[in-house]
Amino acid sequence: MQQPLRNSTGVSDPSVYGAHPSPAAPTEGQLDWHLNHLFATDPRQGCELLFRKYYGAMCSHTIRYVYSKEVAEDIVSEIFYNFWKEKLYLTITTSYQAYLFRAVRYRTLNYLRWELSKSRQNTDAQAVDLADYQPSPSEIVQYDELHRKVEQAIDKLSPQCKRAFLLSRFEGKKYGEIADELNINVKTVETHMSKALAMLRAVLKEERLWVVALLLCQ
Amino acid sequence: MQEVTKSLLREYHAGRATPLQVKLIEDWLKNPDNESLFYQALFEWESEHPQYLVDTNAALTQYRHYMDEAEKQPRPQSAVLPTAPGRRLFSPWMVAASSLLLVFLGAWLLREPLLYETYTTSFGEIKRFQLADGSSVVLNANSTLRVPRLAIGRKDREVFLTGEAEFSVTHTVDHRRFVVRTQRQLNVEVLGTEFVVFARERATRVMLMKGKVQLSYPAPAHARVRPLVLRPGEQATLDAKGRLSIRPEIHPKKYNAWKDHLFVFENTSLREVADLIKENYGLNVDIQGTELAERIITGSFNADTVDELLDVLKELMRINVVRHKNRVVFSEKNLKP
Repeated sequence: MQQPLRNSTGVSDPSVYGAHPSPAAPTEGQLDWHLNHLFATDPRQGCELLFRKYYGAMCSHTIRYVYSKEVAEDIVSEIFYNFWKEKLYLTITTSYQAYLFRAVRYRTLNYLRWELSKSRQNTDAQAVDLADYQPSPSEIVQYDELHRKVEQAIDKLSPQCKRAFLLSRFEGKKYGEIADELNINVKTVETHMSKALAMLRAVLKEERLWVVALLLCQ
Repeated sequence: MQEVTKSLLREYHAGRATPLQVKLIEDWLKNPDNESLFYQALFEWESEHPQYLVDTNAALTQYRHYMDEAEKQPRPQSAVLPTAPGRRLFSPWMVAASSLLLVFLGAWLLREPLLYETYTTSFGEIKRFQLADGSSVVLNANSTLRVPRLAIGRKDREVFLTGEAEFSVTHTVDHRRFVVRTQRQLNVEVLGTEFVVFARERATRVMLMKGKVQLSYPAPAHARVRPLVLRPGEQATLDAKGRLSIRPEIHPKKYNAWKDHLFVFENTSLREVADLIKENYGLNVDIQGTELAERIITGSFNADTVDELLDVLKELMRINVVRHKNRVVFSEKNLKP
């Protein structure tokens, strides 16, 4: 039997977190130490390093919820912009990685809430300060559950409809290009898109109760 | 009982964890120290299973730009800091400075219409006009030509083209060059001559009628830009992949026939005709069957409107042509109904 993680000192199984790091790749801890140093001397370099390392993975994580390349990239960019402008790197108490992923999940939730209510007024992204966003373990798990539900719903669409939707939302193709690629006409692409979007919204709406609750109980 | 391991977290992020395992992870997360490990596994999972191709380099360039800009302006901290008592928020200097800023901003936003005159043709429209230096231009359908309004301070006469146009350039007394810039950075430099430039998505083409022109374009592999001279009757093409070729053209007339609403086809495939219809009239053409798309047409026809052109094609090629709004379908005529 493997040792539990939190008292993993001396466990040599590399698959268990907290086991001795392999000397080749720097661990998160080493990277964070390096980053702390960098942010004290050259914050710009620090920001660029984080950006290069995490931007892609964060976009990939967010698109699972928002189903739009543009929106995902906006959400992630916004985090990095603030990180620099507000000098947030000076306030980080967790690992940089944990901070960035917590931030991207928080902002994505905010976006979904806005998307569902479509009332811009009380859904300012700053409504709840990120620093106060400490999701409970069950909220973390529910958040991960959400994109699986969305994915299942998208999978239920007809193959052509799904393909058209993903080509548009993940690859940023224009309707005309999709029509050419799938050899269907533009009208059909439009129908597919509105069908998929309606489906996406329906799933999110169903889950809306807790999405909203999650943000209100902060 | 099972432990939370790296592999369990991976299974979890892959959506393969059982409800019991999910509960286990949830309990494990109650220890705040574990949060960073949780996100570490998430990061690894997302890095190995990207949902789409993210262009990090382009985004990073934007980020750098943003950081440059943010560095230039002072942080808007003063709004948060308590202001000194009695200090007016809107001092006359502040008002003057901000109005000046507004003027500059306005000028910056309006710089396009202020600095350039833009000639545009819609689908199916052909426009003729003369530039300030006496050169004349015939602009084909769905094309744009931008011309700087002020010649002062400019060594060259410079214009920007997207689409297709025929230029007849006059020679100036002070031998100023006339330069046509295209999106693919293929530039045409002349002193005085007649030529046709085609600058659309599928290719950039220059057909020289008279005189001499010099082309410059970004050579591949960051080599130096090589100037190339085109002689009358020669045609240069820069294809979508960035390859440049020059060849003599026996029928140069066919490249400016469009200005007389004349369509000249010479071993032209139906696919190319479809491209032409899309570029000039904005119609989406659907050719049913690859064999049909490769069928060749030769001949010249006069057609003032797209419907006339479609009729000609229908008769000549003996095909079915169905137009519905912006969509045209070419299909094989069924001989045995």
